Amino acid sequence: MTRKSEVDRRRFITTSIAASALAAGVSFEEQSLVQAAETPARPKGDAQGMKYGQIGDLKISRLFCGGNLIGGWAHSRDLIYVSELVKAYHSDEKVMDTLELAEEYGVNTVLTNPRSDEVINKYWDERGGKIQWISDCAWGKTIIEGIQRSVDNGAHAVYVQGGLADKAVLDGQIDLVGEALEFIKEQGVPGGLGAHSLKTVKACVNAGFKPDFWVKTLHPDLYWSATPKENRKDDCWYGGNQLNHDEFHDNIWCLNPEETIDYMKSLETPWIAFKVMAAGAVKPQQGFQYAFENGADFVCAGMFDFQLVEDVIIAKNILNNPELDAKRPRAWMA
Amino acid sequence: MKININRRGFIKKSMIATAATLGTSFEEQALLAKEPGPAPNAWEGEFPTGKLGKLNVSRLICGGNLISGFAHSRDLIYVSSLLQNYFTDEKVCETLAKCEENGINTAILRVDDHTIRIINKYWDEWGGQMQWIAQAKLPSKDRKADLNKAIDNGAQAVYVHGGVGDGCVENGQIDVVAEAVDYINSQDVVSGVAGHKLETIKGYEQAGLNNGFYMKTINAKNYWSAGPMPRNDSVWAETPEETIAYMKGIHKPWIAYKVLGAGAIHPKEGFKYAYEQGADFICAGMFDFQVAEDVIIAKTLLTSNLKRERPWIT
Repeated sequence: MTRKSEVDRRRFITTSIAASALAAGVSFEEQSLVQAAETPARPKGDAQGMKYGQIGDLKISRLFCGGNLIGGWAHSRDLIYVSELVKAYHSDEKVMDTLELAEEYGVNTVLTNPRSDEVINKYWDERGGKIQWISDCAWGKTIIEGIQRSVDNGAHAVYVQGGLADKAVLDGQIDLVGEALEFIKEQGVPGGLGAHSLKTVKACVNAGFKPDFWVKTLHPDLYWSATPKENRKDDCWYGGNQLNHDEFHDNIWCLNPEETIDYMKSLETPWIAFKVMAAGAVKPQQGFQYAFENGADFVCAGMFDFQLVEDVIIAKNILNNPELDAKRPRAWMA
Repeated sequence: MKININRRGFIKKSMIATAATLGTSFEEQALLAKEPGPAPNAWEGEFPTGKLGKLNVSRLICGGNLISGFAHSRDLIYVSSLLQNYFTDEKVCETLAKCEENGINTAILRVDDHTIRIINKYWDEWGGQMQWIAQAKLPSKDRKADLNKAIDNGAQAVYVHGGVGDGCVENGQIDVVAEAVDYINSQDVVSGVAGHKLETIKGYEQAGLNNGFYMKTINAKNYWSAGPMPRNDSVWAETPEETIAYMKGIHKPWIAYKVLGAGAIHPKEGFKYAYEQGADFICAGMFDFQVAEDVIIAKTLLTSNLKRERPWIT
């Protein structure tokens, strides 16, 4: 019997091949190269007029910059060189250019690792930038150390990074997550909780934690490199990469999107969705739409300078769609 | 030629940068685990070369897909765009200079206006002496257009693109390739033919082409993204064992390409596999920050006791 995921993947690929066939007069390889290299037509619309929501005292653009690209963590499946290339591309000047461009188009927040504090401070000091910084606190020997470094260096909000929270729950140390959250709040900034695993969110809710915001992965799961549904293992992120293509290899971050959407409906706290493009395999139109239509209050998306304006237009078009609110299973919580 | 790059300093800096990654979270550790280990011993002496017709060619050749912005990045949408944005003219010239400084004397590049502009800039403004093997297509409107463009602009060798060759053999148009090879030869330029499919190489051999060299893809096909069917810009050497066996009987130089599976195989593995399985030369896409390490790996392999069954043809 053919698996459903295989059928869906095949359909996806067939569509791609059919599109390629339009490129007459070139070899098959050339067709796929040309298709990959083509810049998609820029979506129509104005890049100005970003929408905002509120987390605590912070007014935050509904689309904001992710930090993995700045930090050079590309999650590029088995492509060895991409993270290094991303780092090589993102000189301090390029990072600051990107943040400046973001602000110009109304994106007023960036979510990054504490390691980025130097370049962010440089941006604030040298360029006069105002971008707000949400830190994931994943630095140092303890979570507290990461929080402290973040707050000391100007973070506007801090959350317990998804990997850290997942692992704490997995290891039966959920109390550490609660303590970290309290410590963040004691610093006078909004405090959040992150997760790749829906189990982590549920465990935190059950433990009675009251974060100011959630940072939970959400993406469609039918892209070519996604792990087939029947092979997805809870906490696969912490067992290392597998050589078998049907198993995890830095390729999926929301194992159960439908269940996630359903559960997040019950939470009345702002939700920042991340990995909405599955780290580069889902187009922004599809990824942003999926996230906003399924309840996310904010989308955190890694954006290169050459993608930013287009991403802003796409997000703005989705957010301005008068039918969006009716489609959402969850009210705006921010 | 005057290229002012300090080789040892570059290698040392690369090693320090790698070692500087400490105190990471487990998510970061997983990411870092993919990074290569410390660079092998520092490189000494000239880089090994072989003959390609009248040309003296380094056994590691700089590939051009990265420079042209073709990443073959499976379903990762942004990577080709990132390459195009990374490889400014200056960065391309810097990369070629770094290759030459490290002993790589040949690059395989496409035939298009962008490439021709940059290679000329490199030769004229940077004083580079990189040899250019041109990857030509054979458009039906004018079969010789790419060939002439390459030759007129200084290519020292020209070969028929693998995808084009695959198509010609499959469609019974081997005569188109044969005519192209004869034309390249008539211009006193070294000629080659390429193929992704082994059947293509067999077709060339059966037709008795007068080509000076072959380009054939090879890698062990044992990387994660080689698995899923249907393919998605992810596999270029479907039958490596058969290729190796067949190439043993071929007495023309073999330039192996896609030896890293377009980025999924570490050079330590990919280069070793290609050289040990019979390749005379390797064409590998390299970023500026990879050149020194790749050269060291290739040189170490080439000066070691390689287990080759196919003799060096050049």
